[in-house]
Amino acid sequence: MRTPPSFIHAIEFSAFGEWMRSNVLAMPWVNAAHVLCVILVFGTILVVDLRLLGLLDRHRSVTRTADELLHLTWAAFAGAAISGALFFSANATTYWFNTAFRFKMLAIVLAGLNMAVFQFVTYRGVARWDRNEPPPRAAQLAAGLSILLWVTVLVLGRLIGFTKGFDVAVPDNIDFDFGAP
Amino acid sequence: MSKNKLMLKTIGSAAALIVGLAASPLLHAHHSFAAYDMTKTQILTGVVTRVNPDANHLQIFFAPMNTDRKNVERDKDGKPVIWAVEMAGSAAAAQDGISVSTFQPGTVFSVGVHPQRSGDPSGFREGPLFKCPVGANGKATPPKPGEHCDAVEGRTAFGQGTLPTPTK
Amino acid sequence: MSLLEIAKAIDSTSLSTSIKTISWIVPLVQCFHILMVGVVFVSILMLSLRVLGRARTDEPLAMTWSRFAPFLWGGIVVLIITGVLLVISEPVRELMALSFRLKMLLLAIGIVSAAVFGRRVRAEVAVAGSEPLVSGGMRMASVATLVLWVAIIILGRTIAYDDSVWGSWSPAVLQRGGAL
Repeated sequence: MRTPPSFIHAIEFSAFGEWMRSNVLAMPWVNAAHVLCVILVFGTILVVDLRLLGLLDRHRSVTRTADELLHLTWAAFAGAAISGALFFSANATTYWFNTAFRFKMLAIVLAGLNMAVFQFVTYRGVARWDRNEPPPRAAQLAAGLSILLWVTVLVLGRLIGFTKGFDVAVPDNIDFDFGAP
Repeated sequence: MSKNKLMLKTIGSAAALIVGLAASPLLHAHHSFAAYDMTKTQILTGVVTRVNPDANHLQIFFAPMNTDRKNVERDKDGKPVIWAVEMAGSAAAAQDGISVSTFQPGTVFSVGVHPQRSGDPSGFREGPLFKCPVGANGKATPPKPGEHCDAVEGRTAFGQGTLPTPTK
Repeated sequence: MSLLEIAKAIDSTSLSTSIKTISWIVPLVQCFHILMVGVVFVSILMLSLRVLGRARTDEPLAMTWSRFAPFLWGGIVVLIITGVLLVISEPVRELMALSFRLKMLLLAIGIVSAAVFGRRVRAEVAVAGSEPLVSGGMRMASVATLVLWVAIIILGRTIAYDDSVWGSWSPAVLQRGGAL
């Protein structure tokens, strides 16, 4: 637990990580890009989820609502992943040990699994409930889970900034005794 | 379930989730910038345990030394108390020469900080950092009892000026 | 009274001190703020895409407006409340940042233009009883609106990096006598 795996160390001390840390303007721009992409992922998914819950846009088909936003969601997700990787490279050890970061990654994986199950099971029968009909329970459940998981991702992402650095243990090879001659 | 009820339930559970996560002790928010009491200043001398070279806010984690400068402050279990001094991002800190390589574990240094209001052991940097010299045995030479690294011959300054005047 | 003096006066109020003392308030308020940025920005985005004919062309513009207007206005109200709390918690850091000042300016333009747009859509529907015509001017305005909100979001994030981004243009740097 004290030292991170060697690949984490390699990422942090790569020339790229060094550049991210030493360039005064790199972080503000990467940070702004990350925020923009993350809120686009969240916002576009929210529109689709509210339709799947049957709360809004009932006059529009589920497929139309989903299809017109999906490419935007994926593009924003790619942007968030790339800018997030840049963040990570600047300080890999700290993120590796950060609890909020770990739970955020877990929440992203769970959101992906939720989406995959919905896509390959529930969504296959979408033709039956594409219009007018209230979406089936399974679709509503997937949408509710999706909203909660993406809210979790955003909240944990914000909390990383407040907690990072504090989760790394003190190395036990430091000699604190300065009394000996 | 009616649409209004479902909408309220969705918003309500999302809000509860946010509050739950933000207040979770597991993800305890150690600080926000508002948490530092800028009206208070104290000088600390301690032994570096780690530098977090964060591009947003670089942090130096250290064990403050006790007043006789022979050892570090310890908690009731005998483990060193760990403080963090936070400053601007790694790029800005590097302009003062502060980095992972110049503040390696075991380095003894002094810094002025604005402590947290909550009493949690961290503070925001004020003024320059002073690093105590390393002796012939490869170990840092600490200051005399009650003094700081700026008073040790052969010390190195990181940043302009002198240590700030402590309050109270 | 200078802006800095006002900021310092806010900083010493008991409300400011209370927010600062309870360590989880600022992170919590920021979480609500960022989520609402998502809600507001996507509402603006959907309206702009509808005007540009890139989304929701199966429904009249007035319908897209009434679908997203509650989210837009509701989100803006939450953003203002959480934003004011964040300013009260760190007034000097916010008010002395050029990014913050520019953001407030652009935000005012964004809110007024959204209100004007909403009025126009509703007025045209009331008169004609049908779909308002999407003019070339409206298309250009919707692109400008998107750029405006992207800028607002970027400026919101760069408040934390005011020195790095603006250098000696940053009021905080000027106030320190130009030292970075």
